[in-house]
Amino acid sequence: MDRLSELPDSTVHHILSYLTAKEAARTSILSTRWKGLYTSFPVLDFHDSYTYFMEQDLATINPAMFYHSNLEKVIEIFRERVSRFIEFVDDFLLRFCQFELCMQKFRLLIGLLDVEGSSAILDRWIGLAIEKKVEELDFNILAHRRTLYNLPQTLFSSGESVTALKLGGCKLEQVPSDAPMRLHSLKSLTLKEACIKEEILHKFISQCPSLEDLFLLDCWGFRDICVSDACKLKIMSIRESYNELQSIKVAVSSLQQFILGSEYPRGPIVIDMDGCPNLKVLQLSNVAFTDQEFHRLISKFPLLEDLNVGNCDLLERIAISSLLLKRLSIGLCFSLKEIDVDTPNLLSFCYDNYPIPVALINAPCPWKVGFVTQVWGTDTSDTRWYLNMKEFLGASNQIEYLSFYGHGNKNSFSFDEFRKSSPSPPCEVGNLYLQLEEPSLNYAVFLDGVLGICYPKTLSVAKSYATNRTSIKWLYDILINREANCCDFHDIKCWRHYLKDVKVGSFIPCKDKNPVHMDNLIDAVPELPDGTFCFHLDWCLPIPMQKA
Amino acid sequence: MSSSIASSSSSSSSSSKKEKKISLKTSDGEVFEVEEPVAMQLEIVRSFFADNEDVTEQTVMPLPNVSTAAMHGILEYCRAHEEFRRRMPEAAPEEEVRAFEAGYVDRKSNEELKEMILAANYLNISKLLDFLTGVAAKRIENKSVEYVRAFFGVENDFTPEEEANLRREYEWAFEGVDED
Repeated sequence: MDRLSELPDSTVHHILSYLTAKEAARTSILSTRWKGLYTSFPVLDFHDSYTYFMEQDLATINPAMFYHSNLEKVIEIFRERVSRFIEFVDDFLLRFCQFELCMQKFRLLIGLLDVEGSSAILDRWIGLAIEKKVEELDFNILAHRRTLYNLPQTLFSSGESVTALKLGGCKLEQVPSDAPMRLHSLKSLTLKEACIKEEILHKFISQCPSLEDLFLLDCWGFRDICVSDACKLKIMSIRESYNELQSIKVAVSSLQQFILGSEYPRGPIVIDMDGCPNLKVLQLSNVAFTDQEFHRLISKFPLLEDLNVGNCDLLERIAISSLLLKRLSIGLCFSLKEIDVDTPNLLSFCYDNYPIPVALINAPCPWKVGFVTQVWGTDTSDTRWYLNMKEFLGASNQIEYLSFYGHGNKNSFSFDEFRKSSPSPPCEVGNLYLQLEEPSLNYAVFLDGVLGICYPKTLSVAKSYATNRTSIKWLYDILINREANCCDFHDIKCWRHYLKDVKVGSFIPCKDKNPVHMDNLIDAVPELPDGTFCFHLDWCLPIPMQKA
Repeated sequence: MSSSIASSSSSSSSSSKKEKKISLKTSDGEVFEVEEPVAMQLEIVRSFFADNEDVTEQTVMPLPNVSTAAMHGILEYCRAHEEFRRRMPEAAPEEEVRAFEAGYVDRKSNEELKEMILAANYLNISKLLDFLTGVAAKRIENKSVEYVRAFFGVENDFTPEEEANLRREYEWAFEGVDED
């Protein structure tokens, strides 16, 4: 007999817990012992089975989309499949509950047409899970926003065993109003597309002494958040889509990460985080900050290591000076005119924006830089623009990635003027990413300008539906058939003189990201889906032009 | 006087040599001398020494359920982790740990892996058991029922009818699976 069959049940369950729900279930037909082991497996995950019962066509449908429609036939099929699924889950749970075992995890996905009519059974399931000392409870209910499932009071008054609670498409209203909550073990709370009243949210925060992570994703029902008595809170993440939030006040010295974001630009919000001196990670997106508010906020975090600011449209100037900051990312703050960054110990710097800012940057680490060169379709790029770009990039000692989205409607670039004003060598770039457009003189001028600024080791160009199939070939021909019969009598010559070799690299489809390598890639273009082409460029700059 | 100075200086320069060792005897009779902090990762050893006051440094602890081969594998893992802990007591260097674990497990056959799971379970090393059960799960991922049976050394004791019934009952789990 193989000795592995001596493995105790708990070890087999341990192995099963690393498998998907489907795969774990398949082990039940190995032998009678394994069938029993599966029945007592304390991880009950009903995502795969929901997909099976609802079948491909309805598995991902939120019945909210039937709310105002007369799709009676579809609604009937939906109802039928859901009721078979409910029966399946019910049997499954009851079978597990025969054992004297604690439930590790209960994960449910279900779409409900009639939330009220299904409440009783959902309440019963939660009751059973609580009885079995469930640790992780993850309920994702797909229903219309107006008919959310109201979670039963038992969960809050008897859920002492629960360490992680993840609730989607629910309402949290039946919280004991006078009695305290008993979620003493709760470490992680995630609410997604859920409705929670302000006072209940505050009850959670102040009455769950173990709470470490709080995620509020696209929730509503609260306007002001005030957190002060959560002594273990480490992560607080709020993503809004209803933009009801008006103020956040957090004073928790254990807080390490704060993430605030919104789907859409939103109105003003008051953020007071004076009592979070140990914050390490700060991410803000679509927050309407003034320069003053922003700088006041970050000045409260002397230990900050990771700062990510995006879509903050009011910001005009950013000044950051820190010895501890390791990662800095600034993206799509379209009013930004000036940045002043002194971060000698930075490990990565990302800058993705539209105008070229006036910049003073001390960030000796790899840079990832992206520019939107065409906004609202009216922009032009002239030699001055390319000079400014070169100056901006010149502050870096290592540009890993540089991308341009769009290429300016009207490019004018004079290499003579450019080399006169900026005789320094172009900068080296790891990967230059461009969007490919129709063959045009304007694009050729753009290419001249960009290759005047930098010499990339890899040139990636995106092929998309808008791209003429001949564009890649056209670009390839420009690179291959470069005639270096210009630039006489000049010490500094244009890129054509320094480009030694061009190799067609790989093609990376948008869909699966698995690079395709093949001979004659260029000729295969018509058959290829949307994706990115890579060319490897080999440069040979004359000695005085190479950076020391 | 001078000899005591000499001995104290030599003890400080070779403190690692003087480190306390614990003797563990495997099922096939081989005795392993294991540095104390490494041996203490074995919960069974830790509680043996914590609970028995009359054990001394000379005590050889028998481990009748662990083969010499499995012991070599276990000690390699525990020593590496002790080394990580010593170098970075605050937080393990995650990438290095991952690289070590990947290389470590690549060299193990299915048989060795199973042997080690049994040993890690018996010795009660939760970290190693966590890791090895995860590896075992990876190795049976997307494999046919027959393959998994062979992997675990399970004999099919179902009649063909019973098995067919079960497949029907668990149809949701077999959907879209190509059995080879």
